Amino acid sequence: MDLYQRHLLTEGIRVIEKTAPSDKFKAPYQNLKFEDAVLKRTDLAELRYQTAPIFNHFKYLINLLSGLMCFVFLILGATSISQLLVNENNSQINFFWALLLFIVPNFLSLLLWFFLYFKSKVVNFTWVASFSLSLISLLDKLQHKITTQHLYYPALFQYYFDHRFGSYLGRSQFSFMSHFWWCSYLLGATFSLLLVLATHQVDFIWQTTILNEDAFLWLTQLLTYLPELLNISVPSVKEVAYASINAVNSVDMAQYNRVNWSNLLIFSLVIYALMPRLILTFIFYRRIKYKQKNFKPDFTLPYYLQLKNIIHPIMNARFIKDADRQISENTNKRIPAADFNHNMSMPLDAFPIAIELTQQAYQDALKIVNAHYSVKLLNIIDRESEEKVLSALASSHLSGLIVFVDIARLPDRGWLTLIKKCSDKISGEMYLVILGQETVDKNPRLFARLQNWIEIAVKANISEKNMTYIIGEQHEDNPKGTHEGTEYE
Amino acid sequence: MNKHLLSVAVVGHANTGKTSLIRTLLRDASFGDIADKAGTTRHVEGAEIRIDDNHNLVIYDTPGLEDSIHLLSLLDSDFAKLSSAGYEDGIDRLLAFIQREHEFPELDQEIKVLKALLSNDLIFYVIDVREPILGKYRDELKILSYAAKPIIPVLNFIEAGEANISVWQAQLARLNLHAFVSFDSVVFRFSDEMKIYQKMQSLLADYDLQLEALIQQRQLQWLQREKAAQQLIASLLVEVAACRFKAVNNEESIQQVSEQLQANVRLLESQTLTQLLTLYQFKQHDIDLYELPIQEGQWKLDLFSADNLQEFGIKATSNFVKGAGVGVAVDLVAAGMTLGAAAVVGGVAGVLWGVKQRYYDELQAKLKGHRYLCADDITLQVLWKRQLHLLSVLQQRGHASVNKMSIDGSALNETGLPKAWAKWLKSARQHPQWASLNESDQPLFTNKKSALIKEITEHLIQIVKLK
Ligand SMILES: Nc1nc2c(ncn2[C@@H]2O[C@H](COP(=O)(O)OP(=O)(O)OP(=O)(O)O)[C@@H](O)[C@H]2O)c(=O)[nH]1
Ligand SMILES: [Mg+2]
Repeated sequence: MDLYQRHLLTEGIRVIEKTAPSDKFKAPYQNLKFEDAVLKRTDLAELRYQTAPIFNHFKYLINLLSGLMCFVFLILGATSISQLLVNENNSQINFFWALLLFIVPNFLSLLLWFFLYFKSKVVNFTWVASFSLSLISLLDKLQHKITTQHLYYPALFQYYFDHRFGSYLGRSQFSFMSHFWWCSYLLGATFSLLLVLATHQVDFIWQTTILNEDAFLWLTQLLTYLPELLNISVPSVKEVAYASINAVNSVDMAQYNRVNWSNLLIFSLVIYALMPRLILTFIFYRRIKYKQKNFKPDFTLPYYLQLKNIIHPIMNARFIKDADRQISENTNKRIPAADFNHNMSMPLDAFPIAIELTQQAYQDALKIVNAHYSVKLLNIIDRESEEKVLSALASSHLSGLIVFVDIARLPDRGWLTLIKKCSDKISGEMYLVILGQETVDKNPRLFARLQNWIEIAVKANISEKNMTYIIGEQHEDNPKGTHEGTEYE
Repeated sequence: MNKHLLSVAVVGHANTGKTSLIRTLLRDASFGDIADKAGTTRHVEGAEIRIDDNHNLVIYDTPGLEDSIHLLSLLDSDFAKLSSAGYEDGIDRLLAFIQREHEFPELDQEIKVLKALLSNDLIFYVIDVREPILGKYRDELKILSYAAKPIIPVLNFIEAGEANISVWQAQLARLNLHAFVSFDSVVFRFSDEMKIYQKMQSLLADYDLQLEALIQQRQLQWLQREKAAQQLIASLLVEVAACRFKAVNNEESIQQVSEQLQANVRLLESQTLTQLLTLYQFKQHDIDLYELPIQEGQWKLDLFSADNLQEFGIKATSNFVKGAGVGVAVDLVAAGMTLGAAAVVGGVAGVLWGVKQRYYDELQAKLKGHRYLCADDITLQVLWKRQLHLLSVLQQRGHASVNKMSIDGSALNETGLPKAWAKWLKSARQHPQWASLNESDQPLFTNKKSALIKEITEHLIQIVKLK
C-alpha cells in the first residue's frame, strides 16, 4: 500500500471516528515521529474499520463512470463524422463545416476550461457535482444489487467525493476528465474520418453565404502553415480558391487535391485538436498523481491533536523508583469521626506552649494564657525556640502540658516528634487547643483539617476529651462567630 | 538510559503541591495521589517527558519532608562529628546518613528525599507561599544546600498567597536563591509553565538546546491546541446554525419538531464539549471526579433554560424568550432567505406555546404550509458564549484542580457579539447541507463551509491576540 493510500485511509478513519479518536489501537509509538506513528495506528485501525475496500469501491465507481463516459464520447465522435460530414448520398466535404464541427468547439471549450480553471471561485460547480454524484449513485445502485453496506458508507462516500472533487484535487480531477473525454471524442472522430476517407472518395469544397472569401483563404493559410513546414503536402492557395468554385480539374489533379485536402483535415484534427487535449490529459494525469503523492491529512485538525495526546502524551512512561517499604499504615485508617471536647476545661497545673502560631493566633492564645497562667507563652517556630521550650519544661514543676496550635498549619510528623519530646519532659496529661477563625461546619476543607489535627493528636496520646477548637478574637473580615464554651479551672 | 537527558527531583514540605505541580506539567490528572494532608505521596515516582527522539526529561515526585528539624539536627550533630579528618562537605554528610538509614526508621520518607537530592541533576523546591517562613522550612533549605545541586524554588499557591510572595522572595535571596518561579497548579497560566523551563535553561547551560526545543515544542502545541479549540467552536456554531427541521404548520408538529431540534443542538454541544475536554487532556473520568457542571456529557445548566439566558446577559421578555429558546419557525418560502428577522419570528413561535393558542388561528391563517424550525439567534448567542467561556476555563485549569468548573458567564457579558455575526449565521442557515445531521442529497463540498469556519476561527484568534 503506498503512502497516498495510507494517508487516505487515515482520513477515512478520521471520518469514522469523527470526534473522538479511539485509544484502543496501542503500539509502541514513542520512538516514532508523529506522522509515522499515525500511519502505524492507521494500519492497526484499518484491521478493524475496513475502509480500504470501501475506498477502492468508490475509486472503481468513479473509474467506471469515467470509462463509460469515455466510451460514449468515442462513439459520439465516430458517429458524428458519418452523421454530419460524410454520408452515403453526399460525396463532398465542406471543409469549413468540418472545421466548425471539430476544431472550433474544441477550441472554445478549451478557452472556457482555461477561464474556469484559473477563476474557479467565480463559478459554482455544484450542479456538475450533483450531476456526477447522481450518476455515481446510480451506478452504485446497479452494482450493488443487495445493499450490504458498510456502517459508515455514506460518510465515507461523502468524504471521498469531496476529496476527489473538492478543493484539493477537484480542479485537476475535473480538468483531467474533461480533457480525457474530449480526447476520446476527437479520437473517435479521427478514426472514423480515416476510415471514411480510406473507403470513400470525397471532394473537398468550401461554401459560405455570408462570409467573404478572403477570410476563408486566410484561415486555411493559417492552418496550412504548420504542415507546410513539416513538408506535408496540403492544398496551395490556388487550390483553395479553386475549391470554392468547385471546378472540376483533371482526374489526376483532382486526386492530388483530395489527398492534399484530407491531409489538411486530418492534420488539423490531430494537431490542433487532439494533440493539445492529449497533452493536457497527460499533464493533469501527472498533476493528480503528484497531488496524491503530496496528499497529507491536515494534522492541525482538532481530531489529530486529540490523537497526538493519545499517541504522544507528554508523559512517555511512569515508574516507581523508591517504593514505600512500610505497608502504608496510615492509609484508610481513618479515625471514625473523632470529635473534640466542646467544653474542655484546662487545668491550671499545666505548662502552656504554642507551636507555629501566626502573630494573630499567638495573640489569641496569649489572651487565654495571660488570664489564667503565670508562665510566659513561648511560640515554637524553629530549633532554637524548641530547645528553649524543652529546657523550660524540664525545669518546670508543672505537671500538665497545654499545646496551642493553629488550624491553618498542617499537622505533620515533625509536629509529632516535637510533642513526643515535650511529653517526655512532663508527668501529667496533655491538652490540645486548636485555634481557628471560623466554625468548621460550613467549610469542608477546614473540617478535614481539624480531623487531621485530631488524628495526629490521638497518635501523640492526647485523649479526645483533652482537645478543643476555639474560634479566636473576631477580626473585621470575620464578623460572626462565638467562643465555644471553654472553662478554666 | 542514555536517552535520559536530565532528571529533576521535586521536593518540598508535605502538602505544598509537589504532586499537583507534576500533574499540571504532565497534563495528566492520573499521576500520583493528591490530598489536602501530609504524607499523601509515599513513593518516589518518576515520569518521563519526551523532548525529541533522543532525549527525555524525567521528573521525580517525592514524599513530602515533614521532620526537617529533627533531620537537620542529626545531620549537623552526629554526622558532622563523624569525620576524623575534621572536614566533610554536605554530600558526605548526606551519604553517611543514608548509609545508616536503618537506624532511623522514623525518617524513612526523608531519606528517600535525600537519595533523590543526590541522584538527580536539578531540584525543584516547592513552597506553599501562603505559609509563613518557619524554622522547618529554613532547615529544609539548608538540607537541600548540602546536596550542592542547582535548585529552582517554585512558589506554589500564588493565587491565594500573593501577598506573601515578596516575603518568601526575600528569604530565598538571603539563601542565594534568586531564580525562583511562581506557579499555581490549580489556576494555571501557560506563561508560568514556560518560565519554569526557561529557568531550567538558564541554570543548566549544557542542556540549553534541548530545553529550548522543549520550550518551542510546548509553545507550538499550546498554540495549535488553542486554534483547534477555536475551530471546534466555530464549527459548532456553523453546524447548529445550519441545522433545521421541517414541521407541518400546527402546534403539535411544531412542538414535536422543536423538541427534535433542541435534542440535536444539545447533542452537538455535548460533542464539542467532549472534544474540547479531550483536546485539553481532561478525561471523562476527570470530569466526573471534579464535578464539572456536566452530566452525561451535557452541561447541567440547560442551554434552553431561561436562567441561562440571564446568566449570559441576554435579555428577552418572558414568552418571547420561550419561543426564542426553542427555535425559529420560518415560512418554507422564506427559509434560508430572510432569517434576519429570526428573533421576531422565534418570538411569534413563543407566543404560540406560551399563550396557548390565543393567536394560533390567526397565525395559522397567515402562515400556511410547512415551516422550518432552526436554532434562533439567542440560542446561538448563548451557545457561542458558553463555548468561549469553557475554553477560557479549560486554558486556566491546572490538571491538579479539584474544584468545580464554574460557568459564571458574567465576564463574557461585555464581550459583545462579533461584527460579522449576522453574516455568519445567514451564511450557515442558507446551507442546511452543512449540518451533518441534516440529510441532504447535495454533494457536500466542504470548502465553503471550511472557509466560513476559518473566518470565524480567525476572528477568535484576533480576540485572543487583543487580550
Ligand atoms: N489552590 C491551589 N491548591 C493547590 C495548589 N497546589 C496544590 N494544591 C492543593 O494542595 C493540596 C496538596 O497537594 P499535593 O499535590 O497532594 O501536595 P504534595 O506536596 O504532593 O503533598 P504530599 O505528597 O503529601 O507531600 C491538594 O489539596 C491540592 O489540591 C495550587 O497551586 N493552588
Ligand atoms: Mg504528593
